[in-house]
Amino acid sequence: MSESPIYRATGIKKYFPVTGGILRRTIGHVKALDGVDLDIYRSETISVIGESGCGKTTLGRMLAVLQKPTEGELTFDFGQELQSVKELDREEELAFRKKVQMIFQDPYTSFNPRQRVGAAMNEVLEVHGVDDPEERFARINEACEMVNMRVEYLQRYPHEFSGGQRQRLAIARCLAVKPELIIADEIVSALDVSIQAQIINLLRQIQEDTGLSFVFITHDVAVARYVGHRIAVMYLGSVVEILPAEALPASAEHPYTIALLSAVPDMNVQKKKQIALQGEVPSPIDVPTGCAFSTRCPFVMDICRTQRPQLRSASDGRSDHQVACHLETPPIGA
Amino acid sequence: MSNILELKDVNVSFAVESDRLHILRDVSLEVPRGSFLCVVGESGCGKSVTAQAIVQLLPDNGKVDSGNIRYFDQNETLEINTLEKFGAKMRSLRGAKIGMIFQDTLSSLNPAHKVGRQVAETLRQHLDLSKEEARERVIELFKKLGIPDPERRYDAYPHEFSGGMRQRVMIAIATACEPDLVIADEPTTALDVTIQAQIMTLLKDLQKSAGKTFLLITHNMALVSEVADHVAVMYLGRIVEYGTVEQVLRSPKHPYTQALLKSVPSLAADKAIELLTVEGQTPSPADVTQGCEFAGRCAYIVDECRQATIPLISFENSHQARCMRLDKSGNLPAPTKVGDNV
Amino acid sequence: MVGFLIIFLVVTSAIFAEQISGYDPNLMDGMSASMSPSTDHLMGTDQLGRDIFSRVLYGGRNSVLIGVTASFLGNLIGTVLGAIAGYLGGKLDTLFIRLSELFMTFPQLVLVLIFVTFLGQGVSNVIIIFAITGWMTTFRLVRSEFLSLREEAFVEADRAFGFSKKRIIFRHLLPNTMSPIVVAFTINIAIYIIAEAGLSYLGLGVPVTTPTWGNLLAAAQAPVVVEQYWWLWVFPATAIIVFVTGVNFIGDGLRDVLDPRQRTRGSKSTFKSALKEKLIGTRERNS
Repeated sequence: MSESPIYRATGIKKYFPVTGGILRRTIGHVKALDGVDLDIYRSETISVIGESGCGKTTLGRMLAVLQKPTEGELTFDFGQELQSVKELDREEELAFRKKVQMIFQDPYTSFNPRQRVGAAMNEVLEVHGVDDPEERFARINEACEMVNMRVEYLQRYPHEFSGGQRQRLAIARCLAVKPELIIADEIVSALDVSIQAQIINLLRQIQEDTGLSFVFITHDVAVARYVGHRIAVMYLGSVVEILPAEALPASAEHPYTIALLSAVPDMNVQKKKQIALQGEVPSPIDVPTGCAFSTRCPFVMDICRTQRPQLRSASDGRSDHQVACHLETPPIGA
Repeated sequence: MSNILELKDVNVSFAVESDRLHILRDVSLEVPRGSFLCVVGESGCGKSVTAQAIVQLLPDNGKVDSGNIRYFDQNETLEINTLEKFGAKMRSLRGAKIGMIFQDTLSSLNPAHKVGRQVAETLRQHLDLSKEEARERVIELFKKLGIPDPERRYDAYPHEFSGGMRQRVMIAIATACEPDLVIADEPTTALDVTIQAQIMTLLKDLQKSAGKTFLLITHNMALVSEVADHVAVMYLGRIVEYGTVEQVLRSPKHPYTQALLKSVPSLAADKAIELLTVEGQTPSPADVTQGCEFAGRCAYIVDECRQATIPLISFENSHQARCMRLDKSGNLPAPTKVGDNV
Repeated sequence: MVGFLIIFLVVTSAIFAEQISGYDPNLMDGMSASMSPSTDHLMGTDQLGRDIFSRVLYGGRNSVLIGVTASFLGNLIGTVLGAIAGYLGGKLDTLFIRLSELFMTFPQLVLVLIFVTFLGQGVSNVIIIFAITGWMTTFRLVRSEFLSLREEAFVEADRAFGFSKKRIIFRHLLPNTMSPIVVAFTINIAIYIIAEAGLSYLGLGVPVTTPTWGNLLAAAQAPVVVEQYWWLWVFPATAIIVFVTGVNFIGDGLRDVLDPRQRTRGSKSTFKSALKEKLIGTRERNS
């Protein structure tokens, strides 16, 4: 990718202090994110996958600046050049939030239960300076059309909608603001399979029609592949591999990615179990030194325990494929 | 191969406010001994209720209105639905002959008791073991199920375990008395995929090595494809398709099964093709009282579909599907409706 | 509905007390002392010849005034402080909590005594004193609601949309805490009416000459009175019971009306739907 990214995260760390003892001293840290670099480009969907404790949700919140990173830099392209968005005053914050929106996992609580959904959407537009009620109405109309929601339903309260409908409303609420990037945190995980498919198709359609960028956070690898152009695989607070969606599952190179793919049940993939992971993910308080995956990796070498691997180009030579591993060639052939 | 469990025309209803909702509709199943049956469906299809009915653990407002549930023990046949819910016979069934694994381990395990004791409790309840004997057995069990450091873990509390480990504890409780039938209700839905793989391997091992029969309730079709011998697909309280996993997943006959399978994203599928979706959502049981439950969303609907209850039709090799639009060889005609996806 | 009727009755009779009764409640007519209810005196007279009916009416005005105003004021203080403390947290929260604990360590009686010494007796003083000594419960209530609501996903969504703290607190969080606030409000009314009675009995609250229901009850305490002059206490007591029940009904009704989740089923009277439109303030689009 030769063009510059719309959003860049460098060296993001998020440590949560753990206090203990009578004097409540800090005895350790939960390292939710331990040095994450990520570039997000215009008109692309990047899926972020990983299991529990990998930090993907925390990453989402960092990107949405709902919390500040402990270390690291976030820069967003407002039109001229990349600008840091870590510390923003009220005016800058509003400008940023206009461009970067977020949708949450639980469709049942992401709307104020006492507010009609139409009023909620209206309010968002008001806050973002769309003063003309006619224009607000027009935008809301447009957004509802994009998600196939009838405008008459906007008079209702959130609890009158099903989970899938609520997620569509949440998407519409973001779309009305006309953002450039939407961060979607596990938005289909709480839905039935057939409803999930509806939302996935919808996201793909919206992406094609509007050219928005999406950061799609999910634990479901198959969904990630369907929705995203690129996939970022996370493990215990760092990104271990970034690869184009078509390269999954065949060209995955990082042992964890391969293990993850081995574990995912799939109807169509004829699998020889490539890596069956034993044990459990270490606690983020006790992140192993060197490579975070070193304690469970079947191909671990001495260097893995002492030196943290950085993201480098993968062996298949594709510019959009990077892996953070000391192995020079992928452990299992494609 | 004889059956270990048979359900015949089971109907269950729930009292909700002043209505009775018809939750299970004429559910019939035959579970061969030593097999792995998956009951699959989306939320509201009644799969969990089926499991609850089998062990008579329906909530207070639920009732088995008609039908038989028969459990075939080594020596005798028990008609479960005729037994007293908390009577001695039923209690000796639960845990000892039929084990249950639940989804939410945090609330299914008593947080105030040590984990070892909870497993031992089952043992001492059903078999006459002393405290030490029970403890020995539990530690053996922990070892077999892959719980590290079993002697120390015996004295740990549930919250000290990770989700995957807790689920192993639940499996320990469910299998401690070596039941022949184990019912697992969405046991891995809340777990990471790599842990899920470990747990499923464990269960399949138990099936093969100990000859246990498994009834797994899940919404995950992909999982079904990997572990099941037989599959029963449910929709709004009715079994709409049944067969071996090969039959149901490779050549599904019922429109709902077909749609469900096509809406699951797969790692091997062509990304460019949109996922198939089913129009609308699952209706409430109160809204569908006659005809095919899926009629409102089916692309092959004709008027007759809404009129009478559709029977389960058998095709070759005991592959069954509940659809009147299927011809003799089990094929559907052209769709009558071209719906859009919303 | 019933609640509204009751309150409506009581409140109007309190406001129009002078018109309804024929008597000056303070007029002592020695001649007619201690008479049981008659056509002249609907509720009888007391030992000093004062007409009970008028005293109940005037007393109603005072009692209701005290109860409602004190409750409202106390609730207001508690809500504002609780909202700020609950949402913002940090040092401000700690400060407010310590403040509330300070107030709570003193038995209410002692606090009231202290304030009465400074402020003296009288209806408005009693109101102020009750509000100052009673805001803590609402404070704790609102604060804990806010603490838990703060973590809800829609609040996060609001922040992600760039809503100001003020907007979040007042437009989104407060409406969701209305239910416990309304309940606290109605309960406090009853509490204060009765508390006032106790105070007046001790000679601390409202002076004996100013009638309040509590006062009337207090004056009717001697066993001989309870037995023989039943009209002296039955009427004020009934008045209190009726009023408090009415307030509770309203509280229930308001709570249901305010919760949109209750509304999808069944028929509510048009009065209530009108009320609810007014209370929720929907932004209807002009399409």
